[in-house]
Amino acid sequence: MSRSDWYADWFPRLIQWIGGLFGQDWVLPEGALLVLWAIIAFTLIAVAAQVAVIFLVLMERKVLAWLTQRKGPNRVGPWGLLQTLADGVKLLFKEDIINKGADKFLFIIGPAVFFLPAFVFYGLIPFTDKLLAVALPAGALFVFAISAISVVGIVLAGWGSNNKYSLLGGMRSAAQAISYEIPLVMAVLAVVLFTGTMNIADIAKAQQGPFWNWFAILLTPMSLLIFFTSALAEVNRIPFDLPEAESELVSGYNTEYGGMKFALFFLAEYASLFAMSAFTTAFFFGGYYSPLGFFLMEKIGGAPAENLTGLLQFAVQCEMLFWFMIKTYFFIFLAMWIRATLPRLKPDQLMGFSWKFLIPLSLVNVFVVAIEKYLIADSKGLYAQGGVPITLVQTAPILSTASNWIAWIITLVIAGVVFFLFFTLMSRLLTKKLEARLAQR
Amino acid sequence: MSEEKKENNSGNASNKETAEASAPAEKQPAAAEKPAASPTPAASAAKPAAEPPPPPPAGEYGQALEKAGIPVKHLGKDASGCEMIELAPSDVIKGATFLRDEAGFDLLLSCTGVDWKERRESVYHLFSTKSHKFLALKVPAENDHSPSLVPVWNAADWHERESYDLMGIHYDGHPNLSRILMPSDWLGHPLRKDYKVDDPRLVWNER
Amino acid sequence: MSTQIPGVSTEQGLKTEDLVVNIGPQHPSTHGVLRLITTLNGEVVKDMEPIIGYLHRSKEKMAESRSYFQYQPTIDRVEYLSSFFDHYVYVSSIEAIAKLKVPKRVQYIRMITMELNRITSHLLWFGTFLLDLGATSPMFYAFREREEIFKLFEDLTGARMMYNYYRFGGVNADLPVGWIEKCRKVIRNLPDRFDEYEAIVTKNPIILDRTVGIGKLDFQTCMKYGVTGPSVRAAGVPMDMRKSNPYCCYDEIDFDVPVGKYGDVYDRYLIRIAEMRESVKIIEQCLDKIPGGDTQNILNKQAEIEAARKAAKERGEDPKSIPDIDPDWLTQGQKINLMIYKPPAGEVFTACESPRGMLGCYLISDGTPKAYRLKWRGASFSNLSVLPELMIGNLYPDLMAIFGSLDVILPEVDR
Repeated sequence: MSRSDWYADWFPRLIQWIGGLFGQDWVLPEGALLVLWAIIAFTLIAVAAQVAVIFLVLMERKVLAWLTQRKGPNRVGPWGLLQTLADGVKLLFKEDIINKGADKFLFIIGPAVFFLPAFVFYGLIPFTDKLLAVALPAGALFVFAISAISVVGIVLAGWGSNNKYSLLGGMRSAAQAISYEIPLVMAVLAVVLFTGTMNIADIAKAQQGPFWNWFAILLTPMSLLIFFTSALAEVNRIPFDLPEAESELVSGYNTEYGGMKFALFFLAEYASLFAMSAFTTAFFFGGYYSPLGFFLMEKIGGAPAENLTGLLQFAVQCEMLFWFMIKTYFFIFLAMWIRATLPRLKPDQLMGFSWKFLIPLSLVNVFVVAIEKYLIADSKGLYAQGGVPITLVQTAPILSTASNWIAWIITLVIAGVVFFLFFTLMSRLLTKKLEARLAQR
Repeated sequence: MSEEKKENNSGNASNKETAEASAPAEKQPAAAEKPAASPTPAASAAKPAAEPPPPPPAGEYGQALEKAGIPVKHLGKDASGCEMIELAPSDVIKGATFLRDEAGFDLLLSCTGVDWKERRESVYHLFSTKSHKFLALKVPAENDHSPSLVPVWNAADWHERESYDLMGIHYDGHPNLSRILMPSDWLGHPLRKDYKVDDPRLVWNER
Repeated sequence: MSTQIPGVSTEQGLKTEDLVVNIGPQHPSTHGVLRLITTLNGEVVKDMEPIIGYLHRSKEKMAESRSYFQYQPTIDRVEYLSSFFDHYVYVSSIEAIAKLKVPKRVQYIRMITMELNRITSHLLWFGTFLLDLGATSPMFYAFREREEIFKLFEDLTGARMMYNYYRFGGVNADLPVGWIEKCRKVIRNLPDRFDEYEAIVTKNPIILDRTVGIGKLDFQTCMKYGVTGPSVRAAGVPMDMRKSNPYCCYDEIDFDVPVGKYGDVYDRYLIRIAEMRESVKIIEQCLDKIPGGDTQNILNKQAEIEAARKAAKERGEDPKSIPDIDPDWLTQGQKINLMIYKPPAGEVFTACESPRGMLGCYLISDGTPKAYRLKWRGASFSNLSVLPELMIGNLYPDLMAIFGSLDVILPEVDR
């Protein structure tokens, strides 16, 4: 799956045309073209992401208002659409304060370190099969490597602020990130194990077909639950918003920040929320595939999406983007809904939940998926054998053959038994703990 | 005249020496006010003093205290029927312990100081969670000193601090007798009757 | 390894230091301006010292420089979340000193308003307590109901929060016509709304995890620190002034005192929810029993009497033979001139059961129009003093649960 095939046509020509304006004949080598395209596409996507984030903030406020019987912002612009812009302008014009005793360098670099990874994510999100900046062969790995960096930003900000609340927030954040990155990676490990690739675009592609081919269903819903829960913790959302914990730590690590530095934190938070929802979609929820198993344009054009050309291709891209966004916003809405519903955990409970519950669960989940892989994928030739890197050659949906259906049903039974055993054991332990606590009470 | 005084005052605030010099001059109107203002409170204070001829009847708990050998001054009942007794400072710990252990007054509701001008007293309001009765325990403060009841009712801790803060009654034996409501560098005790609100020394100390 | 540096744990060679955090005076969870000097070891609270007085407005001194009636509006500010109670103890202490007779209708109006106020106070507590725990929505739902009750108060007193409605021996004005029906309508919905709250909160595993077994307060500790109110009842002792020393007409009303079992934060939460339900019960009974019923009824009766007297006069009979309206139907007892009102000399301690515990007022009158000494016994003052004892050894985030569950309001602490 090389991405050069579709832009190879017009992108070099565009370069040549620009060169022609200067009277030059620019013929770039393939590698340079790739890099150039990646930069341009990433810039475009990042700018679009900024705009999306600005409206995400508005969406959050509107959704929370709706959930708590309020109106939300409705003064600036029609339906308050320009509220976030107004807030942004306000933040831009604010005095840039660095408090006395702060470590200036760390204080300034903190928001930047926090901000950067949130936008690097956007280069890896497969919005459609063609609209993505880079299709890294080790994309999944890269995502988690990058997401760990944002924690460094929080710790830097917490330490550099010379504020005790910030320090506590930073430390909590570090502890939280260490705990929740493991189940996060483990949940994706199940997917990577099954598909045999870490390329996010390929993972999304492997889920083609009707919605029962989505990994949220195909690979037990547990992976999705673990991933989404950990992702919430990763982006510091309620109930895992301990690093900020407004009522305890007075916003935690960003207590001392104001103006544009605060805005960076704010933007990055929403950007990573969007990115995490997008990855949830890409990894588990069928990516850009429609739940029906086909695109409208495919029916009109009478050919598979990849073979469509011209306007039809553009239309099918739009359709893919539509489905991807719908699913992503569904998860964003879910996060907002959870925020409106749940209270905050305590740090010890947060750690306990991760280490004592999520990590064992994700291990069990990987075990179940390994069985499933043995039953479905391994023997059915989803991959080009022996190729490096291993690439997907799958053309039909996974659950399109009778043998795969049977294998899946067998897996379901196994998964049912395993998870039943796991939850029985867990609830036994939890009841014991609760009983001990009640007795102590 | 009053304008002149005002000018004087504003000058005082900035100049310490003149402030000291004019302090007695300032006191004068207050002193002049006192005899003028005194008739009404004096008359009212005289009223309870005039009442004693029929001494207030001994209440239930006062009698119990007397039975236990603790001298009590019975003060009758207040308007809502709550018994009032007075204990001498020397007997108060003994009496309070008796009230707590034998009479069942397990809850100390409040402790407050009352400034009767010539003397001050602290009033403890007690409540029994068993008999649901109130009791007012008055302790005269001799030279503004009174034994602390924290050893008997731990709840008295903050209340006595407040009483010390606002009324200036020193509770001997209190573990941490410091100001609680007013800033720690505040001068004077605001609830005393002779406390002057416009004292030029009372400029908030901005640190 | 053997050398021990004082104040530094050398376990595994790690150098650790205690962190002193100055929580407040401005902090979202201190519900006002309270300062807590907290020593943390990691997230475990090692020591805590509350510093109060930031809201001290010398309410007691103010009482000595204003006439009794002039002082009344400032009482609203002593405790602004349930100021009907403060007004009640103040007014009733003067009534006790002056031996003013209070008509029954007034007593019932006072009971209705006080219980409504208890609900609004507990609703605010419910919202802020959960907000402290990180749940944002309950606040808005609680405020919805609170606002409905405030509308009732506004109809009745002209103000949403600063009522200044009670008068010595009466109330400022009779209920507006139709108010009882309006009140019934609001009250009728409340239990369902409470069910709605409980559905999202009571069995929530995170709430359970954060509150069960946290901040246990037994009866002995309560007495040691003078803690009253729902905290004591959560510890299993039905200590309620409305039952033990009935004031107003609480002895004519059938209600329960909800009692907890373990005295932890969760029990305090349950108690307050149950108390709101009990308050609804009390208000419903009061609305049924209030002498005279709706104001329209009284107005009709008065018109009737006047018409009958007029008729009697025309007939040449003595108009006074027609009996007056039942004095229990009136909203003023003895007519007094409020501005220069002088109760006789004397002293009194009155107490009532406010939403936060036992609220007392110690009043010494010397027969002049100003109080000689007035002391507020706010429940929050004592309730706050127990905080260090509860907090030491707990985690820092437990502060929000424990402090929130004590329902301390700082204006009442500092006065």
